[in-house]
Amino acid sequence: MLASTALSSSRSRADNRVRKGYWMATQELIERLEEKAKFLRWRSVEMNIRTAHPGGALSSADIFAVLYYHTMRVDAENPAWPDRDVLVNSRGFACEPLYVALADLGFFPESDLAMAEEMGSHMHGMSATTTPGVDFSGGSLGHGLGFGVGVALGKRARGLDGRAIVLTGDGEIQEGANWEAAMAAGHYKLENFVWIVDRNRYQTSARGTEDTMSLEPLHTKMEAFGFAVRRINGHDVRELVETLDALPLEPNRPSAVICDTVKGKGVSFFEENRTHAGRFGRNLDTALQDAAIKEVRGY
Amino acid sequence: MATATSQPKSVSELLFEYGSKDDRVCYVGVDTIDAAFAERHPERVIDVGIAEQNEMAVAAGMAAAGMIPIVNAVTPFSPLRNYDQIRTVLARHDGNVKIIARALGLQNISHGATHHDYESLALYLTIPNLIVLAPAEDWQMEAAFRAAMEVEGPVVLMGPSMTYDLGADGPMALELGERPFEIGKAEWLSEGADVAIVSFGPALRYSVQAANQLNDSGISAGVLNMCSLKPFDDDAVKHAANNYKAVLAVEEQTIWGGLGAAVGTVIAEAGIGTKFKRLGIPDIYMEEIGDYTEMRAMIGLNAAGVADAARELLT
Repeated sequence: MLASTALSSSRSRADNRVRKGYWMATQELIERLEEKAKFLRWRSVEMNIRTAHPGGALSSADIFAVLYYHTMRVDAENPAWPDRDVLVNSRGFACEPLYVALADLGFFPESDLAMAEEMGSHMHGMSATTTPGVDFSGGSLGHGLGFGVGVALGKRARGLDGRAIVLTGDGEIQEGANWEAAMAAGHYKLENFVWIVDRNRYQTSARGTEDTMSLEPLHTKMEAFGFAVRRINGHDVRELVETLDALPLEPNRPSAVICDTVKGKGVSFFEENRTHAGRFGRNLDTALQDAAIKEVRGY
Repeated sequence: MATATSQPKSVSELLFEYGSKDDRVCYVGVDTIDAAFAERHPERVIDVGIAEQNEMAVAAGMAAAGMIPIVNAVTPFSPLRNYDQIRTVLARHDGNVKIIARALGLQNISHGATHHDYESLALYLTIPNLIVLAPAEDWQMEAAFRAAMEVEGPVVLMGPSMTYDLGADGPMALELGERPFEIGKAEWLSEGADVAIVSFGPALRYSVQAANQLNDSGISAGVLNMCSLKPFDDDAVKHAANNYKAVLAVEEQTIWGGLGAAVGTVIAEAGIGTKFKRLGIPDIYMEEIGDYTEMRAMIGLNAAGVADAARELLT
């Protein structure tokens, strides 16, 4: 089964229309993806794994929804399909929406989700290749971008279809290895390489990234390394769809998409208390979990 | 078998051979390329610049996309700078990557401690799923390379020996011809009865020289080439401990965590009582000035030093 809606030929037609500015995502598509994002959100909170990072899980839920239900070409029947899009979930944590999406798409039974982090499960607290459909064992920050550059180079050398899509957090970008990888992506003009940043502006210290070790101007830095860069609202599904449909953003260059997001998005007491949401290295108590699910799901 | 005129293939020639018949084979370097391979297959030569961390992450990613990267790793920056990438990105993902680790031990002596390799073996040995081989000389390098290519997973080849500095002590003084290589098996270069000298890589050369000196002086020395360091050949070490009066481990590496530590552990766990010594780089930065011959002499890592250590161990 192809998880994505588009096949190769229709994709290239869509791309051309995007480049010419003709194409707009249909309202029906946007509403469907918004529903999927909501689904990933409440199911992520429901999972409530021991190493839960609901702040990051909720800030990236819309990104995961658009990637897995629209942008990416993956096949649950054949997870190792050589021409697939390879997602590198570099930070590893905030993996709950990824697990929920993969289960929903049939990579493994949905009943597995309740077993995450339990003995015998395939789901770590940080996403790893033990889980069907996961191509990268993340968690040690700053490793994913270089791995993704390698995937893109390997696909190019072998003439394979599909892209290397690396999702990083923002605090993670402070790791120096990212910039070695960014340099190589620009140098090798990796058109099949996409760097998506969940720019939720908070890291473990619960101070903002700009107070900890400033990243801005991130857009300018990425451009200087050779990327074609877009900065979008990472919670606006239409913006996500139209940006990712336009990949590669420019020919002969790697693409970067900075998604401005809100840590804990969708749950008011996370959004309002960034310290609380930012610090999540532990799971929620039942009352908070119920309140969060109710707010996201609406009942 | 080798004829009188045949020569072992260099790593560069092997890369060319394998790369010509399999378009998944590629080269990854740090500010290095393989000129002959680059001329024939430029699309399969990746130079990441002076960026060891990215070198290993990229190689792992390429392997994930189905390539078979041959990685030129400059010791000690690999694995010092990129230990985490080798451990977490490459070996954890079972990347089908062959790491060619050059400039082992004190080869870059004149550059100072930044370029001395005290601990690459100790670091490689701690990485799960990584096969660690140390071919003794050029014939074994070729055989080990071919054995590594048969493995679908990460292998580090600590070599090639043809780049080893010989110093003033000269060549090994033992002709080793073309022979098969078996991963997990060490190799007895000579057998004796008094002292078993267990060594690998650059130190094997002067261990053989020391054994010759000892044999000339009436001490019966055997030399065990630990060309497969992981998997480690426990049985060969037990044979040494059971059949010799003493076991001397010699390595151009720190005495902590490397060959000597492994040999001693095997002997102790087997409950064999024997005389045992580690000879290697003591726990120091070598800040004195001198060439490869002089600096090794200072810490007993030459033929005379190994022979002296063996005599002392036997008394």
